[in-house]
Amino acid sequence: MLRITWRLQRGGLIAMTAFGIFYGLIQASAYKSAAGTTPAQQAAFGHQMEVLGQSLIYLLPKPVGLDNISGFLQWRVYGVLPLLFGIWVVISGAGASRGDEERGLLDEWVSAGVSPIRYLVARVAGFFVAAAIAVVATSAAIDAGAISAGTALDLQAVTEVSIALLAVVIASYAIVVVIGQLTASRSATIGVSSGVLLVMFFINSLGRSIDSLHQTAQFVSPFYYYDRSNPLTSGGSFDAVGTVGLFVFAAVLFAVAAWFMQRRDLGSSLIHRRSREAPLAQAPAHNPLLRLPVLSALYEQRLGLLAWIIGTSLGAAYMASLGRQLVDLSKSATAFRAYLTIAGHGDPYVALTGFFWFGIFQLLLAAYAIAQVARWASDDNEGRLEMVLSAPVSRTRVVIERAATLVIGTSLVVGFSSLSFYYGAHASNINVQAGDLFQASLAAIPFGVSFAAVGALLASRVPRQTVIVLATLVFASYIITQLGPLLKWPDWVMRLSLLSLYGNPLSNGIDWTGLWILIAVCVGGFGLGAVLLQRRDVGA
Amino acid sequence: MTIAISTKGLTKDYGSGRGLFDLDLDVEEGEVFGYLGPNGAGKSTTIRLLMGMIHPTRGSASVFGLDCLRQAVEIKKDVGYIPGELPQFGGLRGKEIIAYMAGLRGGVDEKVVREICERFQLNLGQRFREYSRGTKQKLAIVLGFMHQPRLLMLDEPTGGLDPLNQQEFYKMCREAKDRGATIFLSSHILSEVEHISDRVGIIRSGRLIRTATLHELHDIRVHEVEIEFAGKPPVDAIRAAAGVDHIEVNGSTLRCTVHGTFAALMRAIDGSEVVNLSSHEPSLEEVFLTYYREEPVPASLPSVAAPRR
Repeated sequence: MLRITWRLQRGGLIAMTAFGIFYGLIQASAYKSAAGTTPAQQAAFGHQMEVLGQSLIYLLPKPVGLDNISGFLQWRVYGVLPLLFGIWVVISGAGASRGDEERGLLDEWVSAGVSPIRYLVARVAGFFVAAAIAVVATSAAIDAGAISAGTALDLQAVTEVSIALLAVVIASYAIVVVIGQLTASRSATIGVSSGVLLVMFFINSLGRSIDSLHQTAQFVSPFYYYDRSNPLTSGGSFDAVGTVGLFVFAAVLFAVAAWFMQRRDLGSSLIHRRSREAPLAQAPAHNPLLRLPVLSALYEQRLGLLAWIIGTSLGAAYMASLGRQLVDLSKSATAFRAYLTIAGHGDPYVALTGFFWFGIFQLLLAAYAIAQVARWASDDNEGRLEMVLSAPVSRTRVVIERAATLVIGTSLVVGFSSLSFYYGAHASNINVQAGDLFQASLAAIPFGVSFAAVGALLASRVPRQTVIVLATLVFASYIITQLGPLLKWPDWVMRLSLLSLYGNPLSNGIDWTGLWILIAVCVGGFGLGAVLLQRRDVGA
Repeated sequence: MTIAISTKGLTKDYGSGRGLFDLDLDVEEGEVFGYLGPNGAGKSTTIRLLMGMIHPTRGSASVFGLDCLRQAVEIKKDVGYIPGELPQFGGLRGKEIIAYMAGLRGGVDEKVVREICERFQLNLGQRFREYSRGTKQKLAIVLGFMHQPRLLMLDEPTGGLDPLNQQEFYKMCREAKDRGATIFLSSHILSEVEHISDRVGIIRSGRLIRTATLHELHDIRVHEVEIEFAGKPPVDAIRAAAGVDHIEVNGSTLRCTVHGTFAALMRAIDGSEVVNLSSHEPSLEEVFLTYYREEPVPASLPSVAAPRR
């Protein structure tokens, strides 16, 4: 049984380990180029990072002790790894608690004499081993990167931070597995557990600056106990009690999940709503939206789109409200001028707040595009595309409708979040010009659509591999924008990143070259996607 | 008669001997064509080639004279399709799915939808994910029949339906035929095509090995005969009789197969004292099973075209 469950997560393990090694190695080995070689240069870099890090406190731990590579890696790499591992945790946990059931695998095993408890134990044990391998490989890569930068990390500290990382990963996995017992499908488990883990993560991260949340985080967030260990930082420590507590917490949750699983019916949630008799209907729905091209697709995804609009609008308002505080904090630092150069010219409050928000918003738009592309790929895999093509509908029309739906969805997300950003900024006394924001928002639409256009191209050719390839493209774009300036990569390399093509239009105006490239990617991606869809077999 | 479906050398080669090979087939308008074969024989591949979902490796296919690939959109105005694997519509309600597909297709009469739903007692108010396997199949039937198409492409359409609903479905097919519709029905169950088909094609390992009317298929039936004689059986005379084959003698008992009429056998045993004679006619199902098996078709079916393998 263990061997079977091990095989089921082999793909996730390979992907996560490869990602961890790449991410760790790049971040560690880039340190020397970014921070310089002398202690004085590194101290200056650390000071600059500590100032900049204040603006990332909602995402990363408090920036302290960044004047050496060890402290930098603790903050910059180990600070963000729980979130990155979290993606794997959610996908794997949802697969273990609901996915196997949906595919009928659990029925097969139970009918072969395997008890649900034994299955769950095997799944958990399999993930524990896989997570341990991924964590060890990532830490080894980080250490190798640090050695290549001229400093070997303290082995004990690396071991301690790895154990702490493993503890928070396992605790997160346990939360997902419990949620899986309370939801009725794999997608519901992914949705609910992503939300729960994000709330826990942000309660802890916001608790770093808000006292009332700091108290709450102690009781509800496993990330709080992970944060307490910072053995790589000078003067930092390893919180053994907190780490053991996370493992105990995970064990208790696994026991709860096993108990829930024993109590519920296979294929059902533990929380069982008495099913209401659906009112008898023997005629098609009269909703006109369902019968109109594009609008029918928007109607079908209305709840998801609403969630994206609300989520990004709240994020925009939050970032705008933090803007003045962040800029004031940064003003005292000598590094401010350099930072402002990156952010753009004009009013520093507008430039920096816009820089922070649109930096995050770019990733959110890319994620929105990936979610849409995943839907197209599943249309094919789950037979809906075949059904649509059984009507007098051309394949070109399918691609055009997808593009139109995406443009409208992206425009709604951009429009509402920009409105929210505008009012949030003005509430914080940041004088964002409506015209400039409109221009920046308008340019954000082809940016978001360009990812989907690449996705359309991939979905037309290799629907099953589309999401993973597109996610890799986003990651590569992100890495280029993160490391390019530090490693002084040439301009043409920077232009390879779709993220850098957007530029910083709020304060610097539109980068027309970048915008035309993005528009060309949009037109070319969907156009070529239509041609390729024409040529390939559907549902084969 | 107009040709509704025509294929010439239609081939879809997936490699390793899988796929469909050199299909030459004509189905006339108004005809109900049963397409029989075991799982993996190439039935769905044929239908998906005709629907323009997949591209042929070579050969061509047309529906109502229109090319299945280049004029797929035109063709589908006249085609109703029930796929072999039902699509997943998740949380959408049945009525929303119908409205969505009706919007794509146009020309759907709400009265027809109501009538089909009533016949199958299908509640369109439920969500797709709450439907049982059989109810999902009923929804697929509504989607296939709701626009009263000229041609119905039905890929194993009764999977999951209970016998009562199966009967209702056969009735609907007969009504569609009476209306003038052409039906291309794939199945691996002989009794299903026996109910409604005018003509049957048998496919095995990607190759069409026989097309015949139901009447012709009945004619190929072989009788297994056992005769007990009072004395020694007249083996030489029986062996010489036309249509008699597979002769086995065990003492005074002789077993053989008889294809066609019994006249020659009766003449051969004339003059011998027969103690007992029994004749067993294999069911049509057994005849088909012979075709389904991978072994060569036995000599007991001499007049049936041998598989082109």
